[in-house]
Amino acid sequence: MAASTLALALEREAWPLAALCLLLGVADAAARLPPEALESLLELLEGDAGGRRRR
Amino acid sequence: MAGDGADLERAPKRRRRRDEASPSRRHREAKAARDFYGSALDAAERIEPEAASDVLEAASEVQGLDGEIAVLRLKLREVLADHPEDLPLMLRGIELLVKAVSARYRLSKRAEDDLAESIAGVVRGVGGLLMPEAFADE
Repeated sequence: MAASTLALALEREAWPLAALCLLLGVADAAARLPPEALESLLELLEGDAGGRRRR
Repeated sequence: MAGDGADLERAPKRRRRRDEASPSRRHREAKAARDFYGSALDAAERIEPEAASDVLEAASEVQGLDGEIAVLRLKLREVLADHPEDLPLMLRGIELLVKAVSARYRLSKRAEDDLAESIAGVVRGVGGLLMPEAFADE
């Protein structure tokens, strides 16, 4: 099986290309989430970010 | 009137804050977040832009690589213009996303940092174009 663009980008340390692949992956995964799940995921991430800031 | 006071005392208990969620609930929520970024990684691995592999095979062809990046950046901008609500998932989930990639591809700490910085840069760049006021102090 051919290596994916992401795998090649990571191997070659082509970070901007890897970043773009990953962000498009997030957009794709988000498109498949029900709206209420998106909301609770954001709430959870907000909580985690707050926890890190407090440390 | 005594009943009013009792109602007021009970009311806050009905709304359980996230900080007070049970450990099992927090565990489930954290797992849901990790699963989401795992799915995002699976989706990222399916991205096969035309000629990207060829471009990467000839890594010295910087101009070609820039072209591929420009195409993907445009694609991301279009996706976010249609769904700006996804932007916070990209900005707030960088750490989880990088952890998922690092676990699968066994990245070094330095590679993790470089990738996280790149992701943040792309999100700020695209986000700043779409919502300049939200990214004014980024």
